[in-house]
Amino acid sequence: MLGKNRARERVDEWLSAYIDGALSPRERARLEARLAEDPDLRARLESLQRTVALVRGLPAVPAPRNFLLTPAMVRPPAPTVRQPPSAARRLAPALTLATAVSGLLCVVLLVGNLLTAGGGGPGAAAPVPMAAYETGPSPQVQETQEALAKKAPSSPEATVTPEPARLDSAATVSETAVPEMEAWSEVAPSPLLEGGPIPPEMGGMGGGAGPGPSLREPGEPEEPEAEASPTPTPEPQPSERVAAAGEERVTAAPPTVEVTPTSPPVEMPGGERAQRVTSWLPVGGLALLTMTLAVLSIRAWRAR
Amino acid sequence: MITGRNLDEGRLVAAAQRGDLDAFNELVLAYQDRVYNLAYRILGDPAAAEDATQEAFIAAYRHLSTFRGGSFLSWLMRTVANRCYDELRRQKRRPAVSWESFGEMDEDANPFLVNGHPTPEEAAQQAELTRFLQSAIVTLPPDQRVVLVLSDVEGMNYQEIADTVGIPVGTVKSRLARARARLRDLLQAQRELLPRAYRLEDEDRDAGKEPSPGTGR
Repeated sequence: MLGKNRARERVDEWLSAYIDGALSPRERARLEARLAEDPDLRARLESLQRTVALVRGLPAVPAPRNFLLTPAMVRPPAPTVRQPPSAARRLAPALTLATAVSGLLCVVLLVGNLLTAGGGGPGAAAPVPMAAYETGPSPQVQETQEALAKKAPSSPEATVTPEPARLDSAATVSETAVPEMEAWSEVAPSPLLEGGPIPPEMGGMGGGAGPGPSLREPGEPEEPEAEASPTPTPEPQPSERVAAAGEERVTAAPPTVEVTPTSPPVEMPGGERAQRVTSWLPVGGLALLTMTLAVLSIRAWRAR
Repeated sequence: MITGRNLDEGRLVAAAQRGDLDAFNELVLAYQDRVYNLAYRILGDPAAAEDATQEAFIAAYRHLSTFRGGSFLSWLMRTVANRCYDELRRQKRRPAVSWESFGEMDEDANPFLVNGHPTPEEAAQQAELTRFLQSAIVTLPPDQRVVLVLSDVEGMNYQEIADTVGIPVGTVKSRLARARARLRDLLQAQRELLPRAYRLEDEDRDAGKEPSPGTGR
């Protein structure tokens, strides 16, 4: 059956091509020879020819109306309608990226800040490392205050002693001495005035400081320091004396004692506060920026 | 078939390519009958043919830049044929027009059918035959239908059809043969519905068996 059908199809193809005059001369001659002797084949050709003739004879259907184009019909719809979304479409990924970058920066800064702050210990310990870094002696000074009241540890001495020693022994003005000198002048203006000879002699602070304490010997809390000044030569004594002087400072002369610790610590908290502000400010700013960008990018994505 | 009025096709196409819509509309007026006729014969539905025609003209205008010389009408016919082909493939999901629905087509859809025939009887016969034929064409598979209409309605040769549909000439040949044979079989099977004058065979000769060899009138 299948073979027969295929054969029929092939014959139909020949007949169809014959109708269209699409057979090669050789094929055509062969077909015409077969048609001449096969009435069935002739009948098939005829029915096919009639069918084609019927289709070709179908009347042309005129257009029921004009299909003229109007400018509105051919106006490119894409740009006018899709322009705003396309802008948002372009912006949305960029905004998202910006959000991610700013968010990442914010987190990095935050973690960095936390690490720097948390390195020395929680909360109150935070200033310590920075203070130690900038003004080393401060913790030691604090310790000296406490320690000196009980005993005289060696390390506090080392830090405390050089200052008076320099002040007295070295006439040359040392910069380390300066803070103490300032404190000195603030705390004890009257003794300086009493010890009038100082200003005329040097005029400079360091110069004045040198003789100052010695002159003030009879006086007051400064006495011990003044005593300490000559001491550098005898070794064992200065420690004791300084210790004693420390004790005296704590008890008898609050101003001087306060001077040593306060002057640096006052700077420390201030500097640390400034540091905190400067390190946390960008974090907050970045957080704000991230949030803004996030809102913008969400809007951009929604607009798409 | 219409070959277009005396119009300078090349000049109009060039002007249209520069964005001259009036020039393009002159081409529309010149070719809309042929474009619509092709769409109607392929789709078999006036409304669908109208849509396809309008869409084809819009698409043609928008893609004028892709027209590289040659026959503008052929290019236009290819555009509408492809649009109809797409429409037929879309319709594939819908149930095809069944053989049983023959003769039930709305005559008002084809008001032209009664035109051009002097006697009412002839006109009625022709109208019936045309309706019948169009219904039969619509039952053909889309592949065969498009080729049949391009060949026997539009009068395109094999090469033109191959270019329009984008298939080899050999495929055109076989599809056309199958379409014609199938159409013939349909007409023979329903020959009772055909007006006697248009029947493919003489009833007397093939009584009870396969179509007997016709002597050819």
